[in-house]
Amino acid sequence: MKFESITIKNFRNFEDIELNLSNKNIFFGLNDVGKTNFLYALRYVFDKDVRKLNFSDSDFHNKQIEKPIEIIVTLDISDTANSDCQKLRAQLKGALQSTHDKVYIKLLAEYGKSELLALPILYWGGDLDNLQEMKQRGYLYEIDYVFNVIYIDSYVDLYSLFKKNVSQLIKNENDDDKIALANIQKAVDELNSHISSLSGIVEFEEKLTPEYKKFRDEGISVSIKSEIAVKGLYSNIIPYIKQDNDENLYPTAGEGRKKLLAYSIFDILADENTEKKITLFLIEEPENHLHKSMQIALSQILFTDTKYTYLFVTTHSPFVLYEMDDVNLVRIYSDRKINGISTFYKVPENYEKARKMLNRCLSEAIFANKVLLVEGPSEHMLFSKILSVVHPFYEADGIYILPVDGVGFSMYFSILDKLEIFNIIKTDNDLRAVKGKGTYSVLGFSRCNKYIGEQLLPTKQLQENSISAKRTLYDENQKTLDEIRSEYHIFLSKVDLENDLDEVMHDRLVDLLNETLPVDYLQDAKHYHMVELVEKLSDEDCRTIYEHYNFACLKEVAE
Amino acid sequence: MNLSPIQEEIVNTPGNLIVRASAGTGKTHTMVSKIAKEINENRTHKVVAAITFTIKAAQEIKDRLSVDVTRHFIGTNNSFVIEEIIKPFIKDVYGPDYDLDMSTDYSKEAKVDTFQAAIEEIKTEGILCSYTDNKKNFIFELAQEIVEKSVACRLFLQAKYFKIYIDEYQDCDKSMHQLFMYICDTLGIETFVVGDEKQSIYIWRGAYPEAFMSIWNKNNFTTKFMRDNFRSCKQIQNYSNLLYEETRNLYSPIKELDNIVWLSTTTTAWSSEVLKYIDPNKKSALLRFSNDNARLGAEELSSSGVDYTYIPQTPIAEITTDTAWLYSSIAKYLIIEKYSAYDLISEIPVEGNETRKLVSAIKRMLKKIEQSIDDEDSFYSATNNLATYLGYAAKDEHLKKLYETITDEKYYVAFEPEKYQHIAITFHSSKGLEFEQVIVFAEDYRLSDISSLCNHYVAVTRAKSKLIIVKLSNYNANCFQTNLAKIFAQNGVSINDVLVQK
Repeated sequence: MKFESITIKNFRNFEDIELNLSNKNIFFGLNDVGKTNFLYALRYVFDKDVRKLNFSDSDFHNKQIEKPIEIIVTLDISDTANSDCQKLRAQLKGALQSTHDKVYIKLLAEYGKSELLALPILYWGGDLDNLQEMKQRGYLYEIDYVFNVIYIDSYVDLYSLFKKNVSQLIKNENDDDKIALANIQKAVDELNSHISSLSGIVEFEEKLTPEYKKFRDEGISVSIKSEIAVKGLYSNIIPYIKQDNDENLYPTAGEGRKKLLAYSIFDILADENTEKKITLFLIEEPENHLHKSMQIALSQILFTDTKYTYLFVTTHSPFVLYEMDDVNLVRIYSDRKINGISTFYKVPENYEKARKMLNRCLSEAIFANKVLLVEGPSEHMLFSKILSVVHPFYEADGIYILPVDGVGFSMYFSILDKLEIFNIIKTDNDLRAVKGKGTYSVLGFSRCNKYIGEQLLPTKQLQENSISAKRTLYDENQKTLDEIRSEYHIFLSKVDLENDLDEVMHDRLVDLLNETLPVDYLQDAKHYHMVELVEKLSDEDCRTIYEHYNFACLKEVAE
Repeated sequence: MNLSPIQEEIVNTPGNLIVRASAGTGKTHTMVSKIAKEINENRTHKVVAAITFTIKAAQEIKDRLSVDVTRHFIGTNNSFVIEEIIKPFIKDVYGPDYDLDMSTDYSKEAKVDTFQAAIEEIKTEGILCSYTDNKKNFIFELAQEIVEKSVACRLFLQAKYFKIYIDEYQDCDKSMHQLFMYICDTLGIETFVVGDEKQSIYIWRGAYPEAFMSIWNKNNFTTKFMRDNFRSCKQIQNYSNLLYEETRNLYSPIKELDNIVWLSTTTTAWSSEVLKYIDPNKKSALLRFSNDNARLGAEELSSSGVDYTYIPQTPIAEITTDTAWLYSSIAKYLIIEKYSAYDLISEIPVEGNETRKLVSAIKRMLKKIEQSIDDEDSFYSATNNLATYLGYAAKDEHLKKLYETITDEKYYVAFEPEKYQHIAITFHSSKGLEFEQVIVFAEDYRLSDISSLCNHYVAVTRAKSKLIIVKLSNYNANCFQTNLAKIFAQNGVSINDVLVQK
């Protein structure tokens, strides 16, 4: 079974939104754009506990109660051997005909002015124009026999989760258990008789009873007992942590540890149902309370464990995405109205080695509003410095500088484009020797053409590879290059970072670095020497660079 | 209740299995134990279908199963194919014109001659009818057609069911057998079949006991034979085992022969003669071929000193549409003291919308029916209301039959036959029942064909400790005696070795 899409109409933040889905989905975006409401839309369809709350007028978009709320989820069930498809089929019966390979699940809720609420009505079937109304038994709709929703709140409370499910989690059904339980009862009785024999307890009881009788004289007496004797065994057990090689027990105090334990409990609960129902995991901001390393560990589990076949996660944390693969990235954003856009992301095979790198930068970038894609760490260092001077809160404003080294630009901007995240490319004007010909291909120009998808720049090979040859090539095509800057946000260097910088402030570089040939010096031990320069640049220098034509990409991203 | 070794084996045998179960061997008990065990062990979303011939038998399985069966199908073979194959998937094969509400009607007016005519009847009238030739089965022919042509239907059955249990397989006709074997062999759904060709009393309406034996010879079925009769005493077992070749080797001579009485008597003296051998403190039944003879027999036995209650065929028993259960439930509600609105709801065949509102509405409507019992017209409209509410169309003739049933007290006994110590009933209605003492008439069984042999086998195996065979002097009774002697002789036994003639 495969999730294909969802449309939401007139529900909370969403006036009318349509999104492609996949089986693993990550929802991200700024606060208050409706990520939680998006999960609510899914929960109204799949989770009986939410559905039975019905809809109130505030659940209608802008309180437009004259229009219905409509949510439609489309599933692909063409894989007839898949057991989840079979679970659906077994319940859908004749609503699925031979020509159908998709299932539409539709929720419709019309506001009843006399009841002051809207009751959800569910339909499903293989023909969107002719869906069958789901049979209902109490709060249960037919869909509830097929799907099991595990919703994990970002502030999941371990102890109440444990208590609520303890009878399902712990089953003492062996014959030996009966003996043990009888022994426990005996011990509890003993415990209580010891408690009652304590002089303080006796004295307190003797005082308390007459006090009570002052208020109300009835035939009772007050006694003090251990809670376990009154509420039963399960009222009194909670998980503790025991370190290996340490006999002491420690309460599961830390929020991070509690959270991981809570996840483990959800896992067990899901296992109980896994063969009978399709389990959907709806997880809200799992990063809360978790240290970076724990978030990365969680990421590993979410994206590799087969248990999480159907996953819907909202997050603000790039660390949760570090291990992402085969995942649908859904960006919820607000322009005229709340909108959403999605793209499927799979780590390409030839990137398996660079996967960590790719994922890390991408995870950061997709949370940004604007991304400046640059060649490597030197650009990253210099540009970060300049922006932090000119525009101290650039990160808070959603600007992210992404060094593409090793991975290349296209992997990144294709995904950013699909997510409609504004991105700018800053790349070098490279030339490359053509084997055995003694000529040079215009690699930087070709790259621009490739990214644009059109031959805007000439690709005639050059006879010479030198800085001046590059400058000449740039100057000859400056008009086109300027158009490319404004049309496509691709900023080609005249030569490269160091030479372009040299053009801006040669004498100052000589001074700062105390080198007569600053370009050679900077390019000699790139990383190390750029660190040195960045430390020495004054605010004034930064502004100069920022304002210069050669580094207009900075202005473009910052303003 | 514990299981015998053979019953245990049947419960624990996985895969396709066919069980031959002689009368009184604990067939239902074994099947219910097997279903419960296999439902408990199932870890998947899939469910079972337990298919019987009568609503009563399905209800009995439901009542005896201690596991939760709400998701499983337990019902008659007709409701299985109508609810699971025909209604949901007929439009997949015949087009959107057939996306309509359907009801069944097997009454005489609704009979047609050809498959095409029956299909037309669905489209124009919304009625699933039957063939004029009562040996042919339109419902199952249609279901076969749909299963073979609709891939959605096949995928649905495979996705939903992990096992199908079919009871009384000897009563299946050729079309039913074809469909069940298609489900087993082509769809690969595990199948459990139980039956007894010795009890084939429905050959006259198309039952095809050879089908049962053909499964016995299939190599993808394990075979088990339950032959230990726990109901009847040894002498009655001997008698019934000698009737069939396959059980003849179970015969073993015994000395005491007072459990079977062979009474050669006359039309005037038989009743007082019979009563000499009947213990009035133990339950007994007179089993006859025809309703008239059962009624007359009850009268004669009563006038000879022991009260026999004739259990009549009720007018509503003639209703053969899919609304039949409702008339029977309304009658039970009005007649049986302990039968409540909840019992009626539990008999609604399709998994329904059982909400609070529904229960209270049904309760209210049943009250209305009860209050209108003295006025025929308001009774009709009140009943009609309930039928409409549950999605059925009540027919005038059926309402009349219901009114006749509930207003004539003579029919009341038919709703609680177990309350009476001594009854007279047709042996067709006695299937599945048992009595300490049974009276049969030789003339009802000429024993010249399979059908008659089966009828006799079913009748005599109802008896636990006493079987009285009344032989008058007429042609059919003489045929019985001659043929019985012949059958016994094949095992080198004479009638007098098995019983004492008086």
